[in-house]
Amino acid sequence: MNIIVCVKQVVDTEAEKRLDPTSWRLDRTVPNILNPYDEYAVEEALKLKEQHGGQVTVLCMGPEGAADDVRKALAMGADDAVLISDAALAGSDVMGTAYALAEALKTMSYDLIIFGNRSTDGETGCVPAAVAELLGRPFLSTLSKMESDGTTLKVHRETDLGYVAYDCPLPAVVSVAKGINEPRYPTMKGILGAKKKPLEVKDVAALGLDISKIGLGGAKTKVLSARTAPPRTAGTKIEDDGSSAQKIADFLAAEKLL
Amino acid sequence: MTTTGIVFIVVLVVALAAFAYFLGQRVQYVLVGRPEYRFDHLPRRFGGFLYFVFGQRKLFKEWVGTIHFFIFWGFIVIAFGTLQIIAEGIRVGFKFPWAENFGFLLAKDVLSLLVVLGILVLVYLRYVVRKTRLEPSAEAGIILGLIFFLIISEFLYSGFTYAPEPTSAQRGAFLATAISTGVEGISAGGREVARNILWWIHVLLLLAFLVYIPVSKHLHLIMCPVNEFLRSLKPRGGQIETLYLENEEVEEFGVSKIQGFTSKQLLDLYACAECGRCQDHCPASQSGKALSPKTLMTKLRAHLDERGPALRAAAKALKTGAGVQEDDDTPSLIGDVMSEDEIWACTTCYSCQEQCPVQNEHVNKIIAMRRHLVMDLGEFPQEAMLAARNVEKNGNPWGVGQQTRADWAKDLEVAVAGQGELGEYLFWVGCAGSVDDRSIKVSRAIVQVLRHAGVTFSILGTAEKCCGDPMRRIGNEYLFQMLARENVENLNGLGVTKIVTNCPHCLNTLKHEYPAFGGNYQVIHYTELFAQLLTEGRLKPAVGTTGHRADGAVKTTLPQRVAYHDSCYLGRYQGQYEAPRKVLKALPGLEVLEAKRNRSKSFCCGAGGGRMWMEEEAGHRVNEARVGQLLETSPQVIGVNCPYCLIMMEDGVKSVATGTEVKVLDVAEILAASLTGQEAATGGH
Repeated sequence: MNIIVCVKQVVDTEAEKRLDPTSWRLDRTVPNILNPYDEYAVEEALKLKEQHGGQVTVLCMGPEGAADDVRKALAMGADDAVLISDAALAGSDVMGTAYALAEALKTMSYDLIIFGNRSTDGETGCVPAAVAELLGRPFLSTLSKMESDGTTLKVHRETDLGYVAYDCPLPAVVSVAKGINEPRYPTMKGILGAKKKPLEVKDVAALGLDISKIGLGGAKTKVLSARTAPPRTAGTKIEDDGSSAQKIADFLAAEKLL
Repeated sequence: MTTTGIVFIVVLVVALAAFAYFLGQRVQYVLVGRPEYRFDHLPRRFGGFLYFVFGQRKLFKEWVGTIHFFIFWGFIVIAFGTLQIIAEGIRVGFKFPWAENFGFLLAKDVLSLLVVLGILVLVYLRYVVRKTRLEPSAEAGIILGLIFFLIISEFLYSGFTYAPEPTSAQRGAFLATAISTGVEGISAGGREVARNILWWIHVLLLLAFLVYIPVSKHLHLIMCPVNEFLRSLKPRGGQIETLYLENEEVEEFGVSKIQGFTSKQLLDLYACAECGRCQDHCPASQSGKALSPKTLMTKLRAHLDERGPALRAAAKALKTGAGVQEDDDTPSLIGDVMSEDEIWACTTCYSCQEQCPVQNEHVNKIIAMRRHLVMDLGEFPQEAMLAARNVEKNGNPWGVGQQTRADWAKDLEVAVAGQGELGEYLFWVGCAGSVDDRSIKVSRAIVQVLRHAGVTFSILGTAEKCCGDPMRRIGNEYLFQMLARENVENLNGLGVTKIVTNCPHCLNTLKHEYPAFGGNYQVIHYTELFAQLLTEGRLKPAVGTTGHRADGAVKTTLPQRVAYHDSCYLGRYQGQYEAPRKVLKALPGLEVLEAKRNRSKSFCCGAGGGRMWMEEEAGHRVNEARVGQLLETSPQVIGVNCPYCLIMMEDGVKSVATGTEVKVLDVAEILAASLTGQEAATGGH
């Protein structure tokens, strides 16, 4: 079973996020990490590989520095990696990113493509669906459970009310929810081995991408403006003078929480 | 030579052969371990050997050690008497020079009496009182019995020999003399028969003891002196082996099988006398966790005894080239011999090693097994894994964003090294002091005091990262080394030479572990610096418990009764017990209260060794136990010097001292309040 895990390098979740006031693009010069959701995707792929054999390949689009985070996925146990990296790709939106990934995926063989549910910086959660659409593959998102016999998938898809169980033929594209598993911690063997695993960097020319569909120029969306979220207000403080239980109940009732 | 002599020599040869065989076996098992070089500083090693073995220096931490002292010296003196007995059995009338020496005989009987009484006390403690740290085992009984009857048979034999009329020199042996008087009435022939029987009883007991030594815990008689000689000469805080991690040939970075330990670590197992002092002082054992440092030793020893022959054969085969066969049948230590619960329960508080009379090194064995779990298997408690990921991403185990690391000092305008003046000291704030709300107050108090004394300093700001202490101690050597290298590079780049730390764990790591990475600094804890500043008169605590500010305007309340808690990493690891006490005692009207377990016997708060980042589910909580011990002194305030202790003691007070007004304050906070007149405590005033 050959599995491709698509990963992204994101701005550290704890880092202070800043937008460039003219382009409204995210300042990525702060510390970067492997998108936390993608760790679940890598783990899920490794578990399937342990069951069925095959290869786990990591696919990433990002600056050259993203290779460091791709190596983390390799340290966890993925076999090889492809990094799509080119200055022309900077500023790509959902559609541009999905296009580039899909074009790369068309050159690779796979039974399953796994994404993290969303990135912690862009937060759209749309790229996996767009890639599936471009590849013409079935797509299931926000999975909280995944099993496979090698030819079909049995999954649980999380909803607000619970989950829906699906069967799905392979090849397919899926995205996994946080908590579907506990991502493994890389061993020293994994870390040392990752340095020697193949990591191929491909640029726009190598993939034969249409320049008009990628980068800031090819973006189908445009950020018009942005503003800082208002700071949180102090909240309501109830001092206990004997009537605090009533006051808390009143407060919750007023917020329609009771 | 007498017939007895001939028979004796045959028996002696058999006994010696058995002794040599069993001892040789165990020596070979020890050599199955990885080599470790401990033959440096020979004069110092030899000096320590004399001091610890003949001086019995580590035994006097408890009164019961006095009994061991007498048994040890009794054995040596009585051995001369026994030599005489053996000799005269082989050749009638043979006398060593000391045989008829009044002083020697007197010393022998005094010590013999003390040993016999001592043995009775030990039997009482082990089998009647049944101290929990001691097993009422048959093995211990056999040993105690052998010693007891060896001495009794010696008395009796000498008594029958001296009768009917002891010489004036023989009267030195007052016990034997007393017996000789008692048996005067027996006929000379009867006495001779009895004397012969007693001779054989004495000699056979001695040989039985000899053979029993290498197969019992009494092997410590031989292995402990060797262990004292080979003891670690490194500072306590610098004893964790720095691993070379770039070698891809290495199959395992931690220890998963018994042969993965070093020979010195295996020697420890045979040096252990199962006295259980370690267990009495272990926060894990004392709070109902699976771990006991004593059973760590005895379980590993039993396992080594069992696997020894096969491992020895495998090692031989490897050497002779007769088929390279690794002994893969040897099971993993973890799971089969040690449980993960045991391995994760250790707080690395060093109390076991502080107490151990034979200089065993427990902590590194635990860390070696943790290294296997973390670096070879990637299996460790989820919460510890989260802390490790937080450190990787944000440079602190709390997971607070690295850019906010210096926010605690924003309004204080503290100089940041590299941007402003470096100053005399670099103030190493540490993770807790930078990002934990409670500990930030301590960092601010330290700044206040330093400024009051006119000490110039700077901080690393957002360039400071976790020193690596908890990561190294949970077994994540890889992450520790990354942090150490990065921090050392930063510090060296700025030309830092003097560092003062908030946290004793940082202190230990910077002082004792960074030199291996090229970081050589003069590192002190802030309590040490404060004590120094008080001596120099640069700090003058202005306000007492009932005092006023210099202008008389504000009445302040400083605590009067402070129970001081020694942290492990300032106390046991650095031996620094006095500086924090000196700071507290400098405050007018402040009384320092001592818990029963204080200084080197202080009880861990429960957070060291990465335990801060793990759930504590088994038994009861270490911090609550410690708070209970401190509350026995009826304090207003529990005084601490470590951010981990601060957090743990506050949690403990909240759960066991509800309804009291006991506060937990750092020494820096108490001192700062006295300098500024701010209220530091609510001592009920």
